[in-house]
Amino acid sequence: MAEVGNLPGPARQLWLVVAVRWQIFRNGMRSSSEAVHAIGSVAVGLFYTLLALGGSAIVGLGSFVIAQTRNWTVLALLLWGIFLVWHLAPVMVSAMNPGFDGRNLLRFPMRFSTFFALNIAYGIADPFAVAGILWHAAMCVGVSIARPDLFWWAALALGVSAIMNLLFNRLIFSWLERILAKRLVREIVTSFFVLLFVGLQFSGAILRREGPAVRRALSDSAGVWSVLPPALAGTAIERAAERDSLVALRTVGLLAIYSVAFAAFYAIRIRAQFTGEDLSESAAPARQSPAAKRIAAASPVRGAPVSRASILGSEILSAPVAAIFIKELRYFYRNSMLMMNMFLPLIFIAFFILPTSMQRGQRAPSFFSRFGGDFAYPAAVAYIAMLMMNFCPNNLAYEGRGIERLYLAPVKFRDVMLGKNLFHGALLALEAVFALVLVSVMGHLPSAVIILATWSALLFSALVDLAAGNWLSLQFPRRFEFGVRRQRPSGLTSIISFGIFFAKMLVIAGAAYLCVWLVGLWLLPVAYIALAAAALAAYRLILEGTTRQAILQRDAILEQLSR
Amino acid sequence: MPEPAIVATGLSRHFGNLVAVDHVDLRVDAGQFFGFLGPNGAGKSTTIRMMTGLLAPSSGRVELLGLDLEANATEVKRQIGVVPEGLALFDRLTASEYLNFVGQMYGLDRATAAQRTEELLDFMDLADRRKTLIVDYSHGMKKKLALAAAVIHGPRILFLDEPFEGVDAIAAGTLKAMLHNMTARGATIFLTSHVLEIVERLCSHLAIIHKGRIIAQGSLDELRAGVAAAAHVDGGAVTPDQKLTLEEIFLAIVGQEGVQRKSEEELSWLR
Repeated sequence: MAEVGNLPGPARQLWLVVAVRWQIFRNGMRSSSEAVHAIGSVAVGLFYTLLALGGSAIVGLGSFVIAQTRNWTVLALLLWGIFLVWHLAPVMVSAMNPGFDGRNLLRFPMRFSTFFALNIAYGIADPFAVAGILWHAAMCVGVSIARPDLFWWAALALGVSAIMNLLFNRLIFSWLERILAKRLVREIVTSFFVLLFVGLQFSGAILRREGPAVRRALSDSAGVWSVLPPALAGTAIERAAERDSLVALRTVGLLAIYSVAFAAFYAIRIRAQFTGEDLSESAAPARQSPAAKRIAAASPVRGAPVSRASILGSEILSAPVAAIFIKELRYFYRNSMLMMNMFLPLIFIAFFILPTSMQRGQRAPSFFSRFGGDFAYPAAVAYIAMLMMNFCPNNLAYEGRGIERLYLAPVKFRDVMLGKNLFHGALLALEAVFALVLVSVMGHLPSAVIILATWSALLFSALVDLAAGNWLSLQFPRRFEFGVRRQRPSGLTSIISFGIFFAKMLVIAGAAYLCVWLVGLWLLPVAYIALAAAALAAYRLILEGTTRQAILQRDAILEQLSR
Repeated sequence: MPEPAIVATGLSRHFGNLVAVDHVDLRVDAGQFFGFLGPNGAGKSTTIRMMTGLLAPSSGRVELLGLDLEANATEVKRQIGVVPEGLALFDRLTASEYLNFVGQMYGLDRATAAQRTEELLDFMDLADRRKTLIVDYSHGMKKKLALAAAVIHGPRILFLDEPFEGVDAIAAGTLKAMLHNMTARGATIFLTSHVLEIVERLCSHLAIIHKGRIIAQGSLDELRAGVAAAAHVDGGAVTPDQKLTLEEIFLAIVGQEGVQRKSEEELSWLR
């Protein structure tokens, strides 16, 4: 009888996991679509590299100046800034869920220490964690160049600070994962974070109004925030600079205690996972059938009466297009992310307007005055179009396995895309009307020429976006999950969409320049209608081609969306 | 001679160097309850996907109800119903919304789609969960819903990929009766399942695919006779009047010797 193998050590198991992740990535490259996505990911990666390296340069230089001028309070504030970016940016920008589910590894004979270490290691893989660590290193370099005598203190304090941040981040995300395990809670919290993000946009206005009071409050509460973990490394360096080694050491020790506490709380969470905690949403149990039904009465097969009547009560839409429209509507109001996309533009427009109303007594140059009153509406609509059309280039993202139903049904993909586009267009039109009401109430009603020009430019812009979106959605599909923010379209899609956006803006601005400055404002709606007509022709061409494109891309689409 | 409902000619599918389905020729007559069997990875699901328009064949053609699938995809799809391996559900719709949606996608008018939705939900014992999102359904409930969606338009051919997997015994009994009713009314059913007892009880005709090739095809009695004849030639113990079960037929055709040899000789280190 053979013996079971010896349990590999933690280092070996860590290495095996790294190796398997690499193999998964390398095997993914066998698919040409994944290879194309990888090219786009490199471009996105470059952005993060620039963020990390550019930020490092700024932080390093800032720390150098701080150390030279002995303005140590600012060093603590800088550490607070890094802390906020490290922990809030992943939530705002990309993540509501940790990317790695370590429970997949629980089938293996793994020690808790290895499982814990792996979970920590995955925390380092986050771009913002990498940036945070680099910024800590840059701060150490900056301080050390200005004050070589502080090198060891800076290295010690900032090293512990980086570890503390790493552990805190893992702790927060593990608890978020626990809290967000239920779909409803997840969507509510997602909405909360989005609203919080929107709320932060108003901080500028509030600071302008309440600036002195806020500064005073910050100063008064310095005793509190300076002993909180993010600022402690700064405090330690400050004390070391003032030759108060004992206090400096005590401060680093306090930071280390915080780190140990975070690690301990994190370990509690990981221990629960390690012992088999199941966070998945429990599926409803199958109900016992009371009795066999009378088959003859319930048999559904009674021929196939086919009707082309529309459920929207008109002959404009065929039944499949109308069915897709209704399905999109249902998916829309059940998806907090999509709903937010509807409300955000209007909130932001209000945000642009609000600073004026917050000025006491005097009317500072506002959004309206800067744009000459009449142009507030076009600017608002441009903003709406920019935000609302985000989902166009990946409009199959939420289909999941349902995509197979679209392939199985006797419908052309042209009809599927048309249904989706009509819904998207209807939302956009609704937003444009809302914006007109908002601008009119808070400012004044724009002239008829401006309204007409805005709507025709919006039509042009939307048709371009929808046409390009249909093509990109079929060419580079990416699956999205409901209520989850950590998902992006293919990198290549982002780059192409970006290019289309700039080209479109160039055309709109160029037409505006030529019409207004060379002929007159009255020509602008005419020019935009002509552009919209050309865009409509292109849209129809691409729309008609989607049926064939969907067939050609069938394997890639089904693999990406229903796997 | 009965009209053929499904005809596959020289159907092949390659994935890189792997030949998943290799020149499959199949004929299923209208009204037949046809079982399509094979070991794991034999090419069953790939064949079904090609026959229903979910996967393009590398070569060969499929005719359903006399129409070429590729040339008349829309018309053919109107006449068929499919429960694919992945079930093809929109998990953020309720069962009622999903069935209404599918009905309308197949061109049913709103009232008919709504009426059939109610009948199907009642029949599948899903009526009291009609407002529940599909994402919250159990696997068995999803299976039943997928089957309801596949029949809502009254298809003339029904393709079922492992329809009974995860379905409780009571529901399975109800579904089997429904499927029998369909074939009695002239519908053709093409079914894959690993549960050979179910296939034996339901199917009038069978085909066995192995390593991408059809290695046996015919009625159960024809397959039984074929196995007996082969055993007789080889000097085996099977007599022509011996009533072999489908499992015995399947193992005899696919390779029982291999199973015995593997179980006796290999993995000797297993306790």
